[in-house]
Amino acid sequence: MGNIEGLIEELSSRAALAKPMPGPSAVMVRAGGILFIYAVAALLFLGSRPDMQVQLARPLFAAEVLLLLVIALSSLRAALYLSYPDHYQKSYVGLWPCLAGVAFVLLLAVQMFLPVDARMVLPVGTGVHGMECTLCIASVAAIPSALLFMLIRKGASTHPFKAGCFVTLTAASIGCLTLRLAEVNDSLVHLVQWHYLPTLLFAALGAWLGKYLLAW
Amino acid sequence: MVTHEDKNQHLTQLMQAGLAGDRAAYSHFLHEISHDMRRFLRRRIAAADVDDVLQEILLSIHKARHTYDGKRPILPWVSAIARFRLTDYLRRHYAKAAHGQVDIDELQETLPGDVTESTGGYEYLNEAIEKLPQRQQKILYLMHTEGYTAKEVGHRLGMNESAVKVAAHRAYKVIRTRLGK
Repeated sequence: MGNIEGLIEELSSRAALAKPMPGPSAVMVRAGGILFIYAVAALLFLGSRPDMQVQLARPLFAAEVLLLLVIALSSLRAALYLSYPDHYQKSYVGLWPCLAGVAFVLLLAVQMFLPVDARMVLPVGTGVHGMECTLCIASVAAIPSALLFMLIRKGASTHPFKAGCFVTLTAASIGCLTLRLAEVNDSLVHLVQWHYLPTLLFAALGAWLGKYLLAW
Repeated sequence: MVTHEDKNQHLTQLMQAGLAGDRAAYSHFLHEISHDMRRFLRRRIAAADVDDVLQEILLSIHKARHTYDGKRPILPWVSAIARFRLTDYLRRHYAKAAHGQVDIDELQETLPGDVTESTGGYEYLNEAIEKLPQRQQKILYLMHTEGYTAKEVGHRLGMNESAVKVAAHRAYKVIRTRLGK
């Protein structure tokens, strides 16, 4: 009991030292802006695909790109809310990225049963990448992951696994989006194997990292 | 009668004043929180551990106070932190229990006599263990130094669980006899 009294005494003597964190919406605008600029810079560095306009006119490609964007933004939002102990009293912050993920999987599943669009590019032989794509996504995602982990660490997350998972999911989605707009390859098997499944692995890695990097 | 809403509002005001640098309000806030938390913890953990966990919760509240901007109710914020620290404590507690570890401080309090003056001191114990057959030494080492369960030791040494327990029991008996002499 005496220990508690002493502790309260000590803590109250340090009452005026904290500067409140800005609200999640303000941080979201700032972080979103920085990540957008970063994604554009990465796309310029990688070089956008020459048939971009043709592909964007294809509804399934446009939906894929749009859903990747939704996953990135909703994961960013979830990660930022999770940096507050009470996740800013918003229920189900992780629901939106999960719903977007389910929609994305459905979109990929639908494409499997549809006939191949003549505008799709399905390279064979030497034009096919593999691990390079995964490494490219990881490279693009490395800086946003580091930045976001630093940002979330400023808070006090009571859900470090989830927060870490959403951090790397945001970053990997940006990587996927950038590469999707750069690489001239619409093979579904290739995309699932070397782009999207590794993204899930990055998210799992983020959850594991969250335990250590977001401890407080 | 004080409603949950009134309490929430009162604590929110105290915390806002505390964030603005009012030490008395912050101290009042921490006192009220510690009172509620103590009741919350008593229903969930052993009485001996309540103060330790309460200290952790108060420290965490202080450490995370920059994440509270005074624009939302304070009680969900406080209880999120309390639940997080309680879960942390329970995780540690059950991990320790699963490995059969005993807290040395607790052991010290429950030991009946002054062990330093008895003939069964540390050196004697070591000597007695060293005289045991290799396999029994290994079993005791794995169970008491490394913290493995009898089942895990059995798995490592290719024995079944009961054989490990029997061997450990025999070893204890031998040690007890040797130390008793």
